[in-house]
Amino acid sequence: MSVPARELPVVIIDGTGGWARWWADLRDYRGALQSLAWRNLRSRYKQSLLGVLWALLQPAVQVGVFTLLFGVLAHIPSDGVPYALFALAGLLPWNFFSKVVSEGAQSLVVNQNIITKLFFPRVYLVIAAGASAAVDGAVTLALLLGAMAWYGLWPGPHAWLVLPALLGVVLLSFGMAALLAALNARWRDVQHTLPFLLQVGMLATPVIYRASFVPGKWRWLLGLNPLTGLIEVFRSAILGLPLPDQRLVMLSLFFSAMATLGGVWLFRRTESIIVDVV
Amino acid sequence: MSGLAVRAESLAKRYRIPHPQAPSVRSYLTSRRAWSSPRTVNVDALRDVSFEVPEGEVFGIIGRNGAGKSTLLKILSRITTPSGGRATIRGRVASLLEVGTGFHPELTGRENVFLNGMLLGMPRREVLRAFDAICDFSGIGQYIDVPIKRYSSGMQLRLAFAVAAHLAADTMIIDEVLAVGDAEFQAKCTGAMQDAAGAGRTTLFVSHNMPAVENLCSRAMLLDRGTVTRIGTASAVVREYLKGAAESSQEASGYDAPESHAPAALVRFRAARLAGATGATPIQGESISVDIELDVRQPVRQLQVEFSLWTVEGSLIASTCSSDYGCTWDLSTGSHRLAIRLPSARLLPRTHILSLRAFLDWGHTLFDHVPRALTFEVLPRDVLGHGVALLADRGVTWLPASFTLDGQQAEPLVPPS
Repeated sequence: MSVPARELPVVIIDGTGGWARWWADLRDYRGALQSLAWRNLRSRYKQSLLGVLWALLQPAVQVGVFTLLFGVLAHIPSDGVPYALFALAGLLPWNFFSKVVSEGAQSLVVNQNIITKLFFPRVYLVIAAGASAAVDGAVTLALLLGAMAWYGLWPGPHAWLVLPALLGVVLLSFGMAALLAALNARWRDVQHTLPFLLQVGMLATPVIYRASFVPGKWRWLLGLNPLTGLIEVFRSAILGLPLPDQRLVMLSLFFSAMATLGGVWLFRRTESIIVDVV
Repeated sequence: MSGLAVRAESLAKRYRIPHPQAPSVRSYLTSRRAWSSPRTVNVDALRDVSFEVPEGEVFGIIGRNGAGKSTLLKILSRITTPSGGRATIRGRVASLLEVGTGFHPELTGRENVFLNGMLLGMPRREVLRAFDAICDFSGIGQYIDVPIKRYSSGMQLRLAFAVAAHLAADTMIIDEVLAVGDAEFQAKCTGAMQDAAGAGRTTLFVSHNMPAVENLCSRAMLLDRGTVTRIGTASAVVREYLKGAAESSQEASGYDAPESHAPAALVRFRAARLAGATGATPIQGESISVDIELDVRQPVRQLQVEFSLWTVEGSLIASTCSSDYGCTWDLSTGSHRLAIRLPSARLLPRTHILSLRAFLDWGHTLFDHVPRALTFEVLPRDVLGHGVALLADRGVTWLPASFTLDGQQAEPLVPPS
């Protein structure tokens, strides 16, 4: 050809794909993430009377019931802060985790008509599935801050720890969601077991009680739960409570990091064959 | 890679699917043999597929169901990965394996245009710029802010294709998109594809619609059971595909009279066979020949044979009697062969039924009547020579025509011989 070819990006399609390519795809297809997340958000409260008010109503009712049951009737200790605040500060990270995991785990299966017809980094479906959980989390945070102001409670000197704790919750949630999504694409048993596991998981995590509520002999068991440390730190930091047992937090953070990395690793490994098995 | 948009080198795809007699979970517990029995079988969907597509070419990919066309497109659009070989694609790729991927019924037309466009790889500002054009093309008008679940399926389809038609990619990968919608919509889609081709965009096009392939594509590739059978000019490859389809088609059934059939009749049909010019199944526009065997028990004078063509729904397409052409026969006892040739049967692609009658005196003395002597398909082809598919929705037959406006005669539309 006499005309020099234009400078066009070249895509090589073969069985392999390195991390460099993975990152490049994440960048090139970010429009797909925007689209999927927006789709998730916009369609969420369509044709409902209360609309986005549901994001406020759900945690409010949840906290009301828990306060009555565990605070008033069962007298579960809440370290001197009103039980409603205590429970809300625990429910915020837990609800986020629970929603991201349950919706993320199903994201590949629910959208199989899309992934068998279009290419974009599959992990974007898992992330987009968490968009509404993020909005709900933000609304709950506003509710929590509002309730704290109402009770005249201010975050203590460790308030800055809220940020790393939330970041940890976000990473862990998406790591677990990716792991379960990859497994669920192959074996639907995951989506059948998950609601039950999450129900039990809430009780096995210090959401409505403090880790110190568990007798010292058994407390290490809570440390195996990757969410324990993150939730305990978050709650202590935002409500200005004394910081939890450091060894427990470290143990839990270790498992948290393992679960997150494991999830991303497994997802990456199965990504290329997900379409063939889903 | 200079001047090439797509290059595929020995692409292969092997699927591992569960073995049909794979052991159940329970049998692992109860039987030791389960552990050693095969759990999966390998299916080669593609083997050693190599081809090159220069920049700006519209390249057709054809083949029968299961030939591997869709797998190939999925590999090229990166939906699935090849098990072997590699492909290199230059420039931005947009793949359109379906229209309206990701459409959400609860969202409005406007929202869906943005979501779908961005999902297909258009940046937001590009969708914004093309939005009015997309609206115009779709003809949705004032309904653009209504949830698309309130749209008719035709409206959804138009909106989806409107988005796709405004994609600005260097290479387009398109699968069977034109196989849906009414004739008007198809014509619009074909027009949009022609514009894209005219704009120098590389296009890979998979279709079963041979007229569209012949018309839109300059070159084509024929796939058969996962391997490349032929690459060449579109018309040559389409010919080969149709020839193969005609040879292997089981649809043209012959007629063999059952033993007990009308024993008292003096004349009866014993067998009938039908063929097109190139194979057992006629291709649209081709000549058709019917061979009939007659048993005559006693000499007859002035025998007439009539054949009629019907649609499966029971509409009569045409009825022709030998006496129309001045043919009546005096036949001696024994077996006779009658050959009927239809040099210009203007049939449409559909299933046809041929019935036969043998009689004297214009039907007063009926010897034999076989209502379903033959059932046969007619395969579609670009009979008018410019990409318009004449399909079964046109009626029972099609009419060659010419048009004259203000004394200016347009190019006559005659089928290529």
